[in-house]
Amino acid sequence: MSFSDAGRTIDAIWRIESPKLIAGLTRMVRDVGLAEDLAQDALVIALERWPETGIPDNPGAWLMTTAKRRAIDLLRRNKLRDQKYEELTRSAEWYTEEDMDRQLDGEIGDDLLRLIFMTCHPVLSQDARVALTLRLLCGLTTDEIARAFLVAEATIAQRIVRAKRTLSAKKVPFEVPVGAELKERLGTVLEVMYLMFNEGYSATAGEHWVRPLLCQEALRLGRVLAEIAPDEPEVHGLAALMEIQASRLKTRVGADGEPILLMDQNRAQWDRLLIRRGLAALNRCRQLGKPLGPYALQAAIAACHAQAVTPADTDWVRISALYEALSRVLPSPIVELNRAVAVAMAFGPLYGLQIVDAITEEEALSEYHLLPSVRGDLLFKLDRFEEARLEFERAAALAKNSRERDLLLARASECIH
Amino acid sequence: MRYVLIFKSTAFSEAGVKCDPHFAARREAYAKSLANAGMLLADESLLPSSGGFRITLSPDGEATSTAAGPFSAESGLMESFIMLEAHSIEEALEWAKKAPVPKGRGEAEIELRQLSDQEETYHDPNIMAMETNLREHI
Amino acid sequence: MRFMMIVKGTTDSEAGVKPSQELLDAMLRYNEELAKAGVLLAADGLQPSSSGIRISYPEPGGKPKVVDGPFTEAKEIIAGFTLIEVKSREEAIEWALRMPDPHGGGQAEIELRQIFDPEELSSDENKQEKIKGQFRL
Repeated sequence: MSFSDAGRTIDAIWRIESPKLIAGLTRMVRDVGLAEDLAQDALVIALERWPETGIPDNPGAWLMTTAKRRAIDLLRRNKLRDQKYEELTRSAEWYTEEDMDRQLDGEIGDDLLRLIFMTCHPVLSQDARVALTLRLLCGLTTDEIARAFLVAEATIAQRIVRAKRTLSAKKVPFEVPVGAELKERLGTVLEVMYLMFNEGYSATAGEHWVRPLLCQEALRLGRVLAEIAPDEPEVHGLAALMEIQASRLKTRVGADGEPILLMDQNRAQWDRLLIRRGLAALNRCRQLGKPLGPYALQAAIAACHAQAVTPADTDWVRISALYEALSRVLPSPIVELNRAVAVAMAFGPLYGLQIVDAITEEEALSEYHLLPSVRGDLLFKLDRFEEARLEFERAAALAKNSRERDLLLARASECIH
Repeated sequence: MRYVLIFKSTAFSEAGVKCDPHFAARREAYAKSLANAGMLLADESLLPSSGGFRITLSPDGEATSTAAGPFSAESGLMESFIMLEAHSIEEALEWAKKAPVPKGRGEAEIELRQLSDQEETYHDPNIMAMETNLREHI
Repeated sequence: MRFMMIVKGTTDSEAGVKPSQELLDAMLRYNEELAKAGVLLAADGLQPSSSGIRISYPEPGGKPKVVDGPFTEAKEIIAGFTLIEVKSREEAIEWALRMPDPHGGGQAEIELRQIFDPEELSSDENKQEKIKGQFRL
C-alpha cells in the first residue's frame, strides 16, 4: 500500500469513526475540545504507524485505545482533577473490540445523541452550532465547512474554537435532556440540521444555486438521529422532509445554472429511492400516534408533490389542508403565502388572492418582496395584467438578490400585451 | 461575544521602564484565571512606540506620509491587550475591573471594547425553506 | 456518491439454504451500524434464481428470448445487495470490508460497484459538463 493510498483509507476510517470516538471520549473527559484533541492525536499516530504496520482489524477500537492512553498520560502529567483521572482508569478496560460491537446499539448511540445535544446547545450562537456539528459529528475539516459556507477558513476555525471554549466555560453537561427540556432542546437540534440542509438547498449566494455537500451532511445526520432517537415524531418528520426535498435536488437547476420551477421539473429524474425513503420515514412518524408537528406537515406537503406523476395530478386540495394545519402550529406570513398559492391551485386564484389580501395590511410585511410576487402571480392568473405588472415591479424593487430581481422583471414584462 | 481590553501606554511604558516583578506575576495569574474560565482568546504586549510607524493618508486616500515613532503617550497608545470571550458586556466589565495595573506609574487606563462579530444573526430554517418552496411556484 | 455492495450467489444460496442464525445476527448488526452512521439507503436479499427469468437478445434487433431459472454459474448470480451513500471511494471500500463474511463455504464474494450519477449518463457532453460544474464543490 503506498503512503497516499493509506492516507486516503485512513481519511475514510476517520470519517466513519471520528463521531463515535469523540462522543466516547467526551463522556470520559467531559470536555469536548479535549476529546477532539485526543481523537486527533490518535489519528496522527495512526497516520504514522498504519502505513508501516497495515491497518488493524478493528481500526475504531485501536483509535479509541490509543486516544484513551493519551488521555491518561495527559491527565497524569497535568495532575488534573483526581476524579477525572479515576473515572478514566476505571473505564480504561472497556472498548475492547467486542465492546465496540456490543455497545453500538446502546452506549455509543447514546453518546452520539449526547454529543449532538451538546454541539447544538442553546448557549452557542446558531452559526457556532452548525459549524461545531459539521466538525464533530460529520467529521468535516474546517476547510470543507468554510467552502460550503463561502467564508474564510480562519473564520470557521475561530468559530469552532470559541464554541468549544464556551461549552467548557459554561460547563454544558454531556447528557440527553429529559422532560419538558427535551422538547425544546430537540427543537434546537432539528433546527441546526434543517438550517444546514437549507443552506445547501436554497443557496442563493455565490455562483452555485445549490450546495449539495451541506444537503448530504444534513440528510446523513437526520438519518443517524432517526436511528438513535426513534421515539420522537419530529425526528422522523424532518428526516422525511429532507429525503423528499433532496429527491428533487438535481432537477431544480438547469444546465446553465438557472432555477427550474417545480411544475416544470423533469419528474422522471426525481430520485425514487429518496422519495421511497421519505415516505417510509413519514409513515414511521405517523405510526407514533402523535399530532403532526411542523416538520412532519412540511414533509406531508412535499410527499404530495413527490407522489404526483404529472403536475396535473397534484392533490392541491390536500396541500391546502396541510398548509392550513401548518398555519396553526407555525403561524407565519410565509405559511399564508404558500397556502394562498395552494388554495389558488385547488379552488381558483380569486380564493388565493383573498388570503394574500388578508395579510397585505400587516406593516411588518411592507418590505417583503414575496408578498407582491405572489399577489402578482395570482393577478396574472386572473388576467388582471396591469395590476400584476405593478406588483411584479414592486417585488423586483424589493428583491435583494439580483437573479431573483431579473426573474421578477421578466414576469413584469410578460404582463404587457 | 468577543471583547478586547486595551491597556493604554504610559510615559513609563513608553520609556521602556520595566514593571516590578510582582506586577508581571499578577498579570500572568490574571490571564491564567481567564484561561481557566475558558474565556481567554489572546494576551499580547507591544513594544514602545519608538519602534513603530504612523502612516497618514490624505483625505483623497492618495498621498501618504510615514512618520517614525516614538509618539506621545497622550495620543492614546496601546501598551498591551487581552482578547476575551464573554457572554455579556457586564461579564466582560467585571473581568476588566479585576485586571491588575502596575502601581506608581502614573494614571493607568484600560479601555473595554466589543469586537464586531457577525455571528449573532438568527435564521429560521422553516421560513427559509418555505420561501424556497414559494419561489419554485412563481 | 452511491455504491452498491453486491453479495454473489453461492451453491447454498441457490439451493435456498437459509443463512445460519449467527450470520443473520451479524448481518442485522452490520445493517444497524450502516444505518446509525447514516449511510444506508437500501438493503435487500434476492430469492434463488430458480424463481427468476432471463431475457436475452441473441439476434441484434431481433426478438427477445426468455429463459426460466435456475441458472448455473452461481458467481454470476446476485444473492443480495446493499446500497450506501458515502463521501469517497475509500469510505465505500472500508464499509465493504466490514460486511460480514457471507459464509459461502469458500465461494463467498462481495462486489463493490459505484452508481452512475444521472448527469454522467447524459449523452450531451456539453450539458454533462455544465451540470457537473454546478454540482462540484
